[in-house]
Amino acid sequence: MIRTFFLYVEEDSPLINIHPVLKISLLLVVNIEAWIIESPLVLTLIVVGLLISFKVFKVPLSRIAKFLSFAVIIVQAVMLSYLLGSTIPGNIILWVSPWDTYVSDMTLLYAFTMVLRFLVMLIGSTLILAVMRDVDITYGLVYMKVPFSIAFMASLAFRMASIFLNDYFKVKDAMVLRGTNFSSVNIFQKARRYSKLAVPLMVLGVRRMIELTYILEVKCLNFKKKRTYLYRFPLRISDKVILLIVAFLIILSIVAKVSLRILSFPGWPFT
Amino acid sequence: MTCAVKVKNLWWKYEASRNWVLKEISIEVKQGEFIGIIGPSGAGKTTLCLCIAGIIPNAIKGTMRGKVKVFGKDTKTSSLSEIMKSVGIVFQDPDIQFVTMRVMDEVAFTLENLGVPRDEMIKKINRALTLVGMKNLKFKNPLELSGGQKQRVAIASMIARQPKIMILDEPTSDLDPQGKQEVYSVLHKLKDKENLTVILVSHDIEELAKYADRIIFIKEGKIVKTGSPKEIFTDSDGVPLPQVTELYYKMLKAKGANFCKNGVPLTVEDLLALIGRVKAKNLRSVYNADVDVRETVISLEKVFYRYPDGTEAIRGINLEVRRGEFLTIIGPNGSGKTTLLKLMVGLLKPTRGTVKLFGVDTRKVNISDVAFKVGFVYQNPDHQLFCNTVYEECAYALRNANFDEQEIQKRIEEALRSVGLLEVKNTPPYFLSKGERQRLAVATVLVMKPEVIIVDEPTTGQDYGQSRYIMNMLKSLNESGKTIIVVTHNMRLVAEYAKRVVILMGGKVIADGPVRDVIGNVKLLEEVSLNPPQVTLLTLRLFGIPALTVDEALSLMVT
Repeated sequence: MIRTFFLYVEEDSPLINIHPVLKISLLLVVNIEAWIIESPLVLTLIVVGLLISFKVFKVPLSRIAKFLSFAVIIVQAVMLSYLLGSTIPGNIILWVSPWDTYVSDMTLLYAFTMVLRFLVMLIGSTLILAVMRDVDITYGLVYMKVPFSIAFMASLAFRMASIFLNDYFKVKDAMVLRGTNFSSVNIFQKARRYSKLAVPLMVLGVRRMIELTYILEVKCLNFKKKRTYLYRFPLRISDKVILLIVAFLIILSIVAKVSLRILSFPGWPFT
Repeated sequence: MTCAVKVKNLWWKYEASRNWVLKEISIEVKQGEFIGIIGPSGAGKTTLCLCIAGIIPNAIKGTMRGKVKVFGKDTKTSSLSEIMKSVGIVFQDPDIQFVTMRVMDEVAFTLENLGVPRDEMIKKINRALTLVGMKNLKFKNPLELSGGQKQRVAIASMIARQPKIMILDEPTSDLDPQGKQEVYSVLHKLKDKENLTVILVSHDIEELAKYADRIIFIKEGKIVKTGSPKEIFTDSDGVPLPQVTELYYKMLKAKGANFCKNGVPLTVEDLLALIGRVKAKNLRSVYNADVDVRETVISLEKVFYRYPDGTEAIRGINLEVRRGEFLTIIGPNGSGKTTLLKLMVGLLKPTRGTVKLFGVDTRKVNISDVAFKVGFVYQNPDHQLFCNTVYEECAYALRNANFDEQEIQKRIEEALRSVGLLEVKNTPPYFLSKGERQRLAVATVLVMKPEVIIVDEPTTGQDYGQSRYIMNMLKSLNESGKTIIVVTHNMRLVAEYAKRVVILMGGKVIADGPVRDVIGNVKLLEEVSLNPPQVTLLTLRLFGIPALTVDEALSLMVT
């Protein structure tokens, strides 16, 4: 098992040994495609495809479970904002609000599309991050000619996120142990209770950042000599082929959307 | 001998502080010296380390007077990276020091920054990890290691680059006794073989007495005393003493005799050599076993726990905790102690087996519902303090349970009084010292008046006085009928306070019994990387009886 940003993954997962540049590219592609594609059908197919990829690439599907509650909140927010505040033309089927907004069949479809886009980003990013380590980010970015200090800060941000999560769970446990009930309360009480977490998390965060500054100095991050690297990641032919396919896919999807309007939302732009 | 560090009349004040943190500090450290720095919490030990490493004044703002020179370079006028060429520093909290996701990468990071060629780097990594006994775990995530293992990785990451000076700020506070000795012997070996200068802040006076060439005692920012271990432990003007030294002085006072032939004893062997053969009196007086027949409050039946990464932390534990017990759980780093505590309070649910809290399976209880029956105090108090004032912090759980304000006030005053924090009840918790925050964490549990109080490593990083304060507090709670469960590595405190001891090893209970039986089983303790306190070893060798405290040992002695 190999430790990645999201716990452990099988050593023989086909994704684990691909080149860091490719991993970063895939991460970017998933998120870019989610914004290019607007067709609900294509997005649905991508979501299904991504879910199947978890099985194919031996990544436990349970990794998504960690973000389930977050996903539910986002989905609720997206749906609510479209239901209450949009004027997308179509057959008005549900409700017209006093401030001249309404819910048409297209509103529902568009809100559903936005949810799908979000799901593509969430599931796709989880899949890629589940096979990524910090060195993938630093080495990948350095390979893409990004200065090491910036590449390292990017990987550190991911790392700090996991430390933050660790602190978050500890503080939350401590609150539960002092009688805080997070489960069977309404959304406002829940929000109030969660807001309490901010204080220790902020204090711990600030302390960590200050000390981290010293640590990086102590670890000679600003040393003037040319940096060497422990790992070597040769870009294999297979990696290059996949990179080309990935680049082609992006170009294809832009062309398909702009010229052929295949990936556009039906009826877009709304008039 | 080359002068490695020269501190001349150093004064330092942080930008935000009113008072001088360091006052008139003057030290000279020769290359290859092993310097121990001791002193109560908040004395300025860490600040002094930061000054020597050049982090002060290069990265931290404040007012500095005097000079600090490292191998002739003034830290005020030299850049930090220039100073760092010859200085390595290991901080108190290893979690913050890790910037990568693998032990091996962590050790490599500085070497990469220094431009060490790859082949040489691999050799250096392996050497450093072998020295600290972490080679087998080089692919692990440092954050998933036990506290002790983390410290060893932090030390390895510094050892790898072979600096001329190593500054270590309480690197062993999280280690089991054997782990501590390993670190000390590694540092000693590096000092001897590679002429490494070691400056080490620690509360482990017994280890420092053994390994340090010189000890500096700091109090309230000033050097109170400095000298060789034999010189520094000659009397007790505030300097904490090794157990045998304390015993020796007590014997002198009790007997009025003068057998100070060869100076001060620092080890069991030293004292044995001084006092020769002695007869014991009161052989039976130390045994006062009491049979416990009270009801069970926590029970574990064939409990297993496996973490998501596959690590089986608990393997088939059967354990019963009875009302009114003072139980300590000890064991080497990574033996599953904290996991066991989390299973006991229901934070973790067993993979197999059953954990019962007051007769109810923890799988069936809502943890927030049992909060008033079982209190849990975290190792790091910052994880459990989230309110604006000390008072609000204590009131939090009571308000959750809808207590009326009068009752809340009564309970808070009672709890804060018992931990000595009533005076600061309107202060924000983050303005308190670490020792005070630890006591506040205990108070937040006390207000709930739980029947069981579980405390994870309450004395880590605390000076001996603070540690005793916390343990005395737990003792008085125990005497008032509370069940206390403590995880600690401090064997001296285990011997002094516990009634029953459980030893964990590899997720299994390998010993469980009255404190005297367990602490007195030297062979067993050695097998699990633990060492009995000095006085226990001494009286075992003299009389075959394991004394638990200095006073108990004293009561046995007839010179």
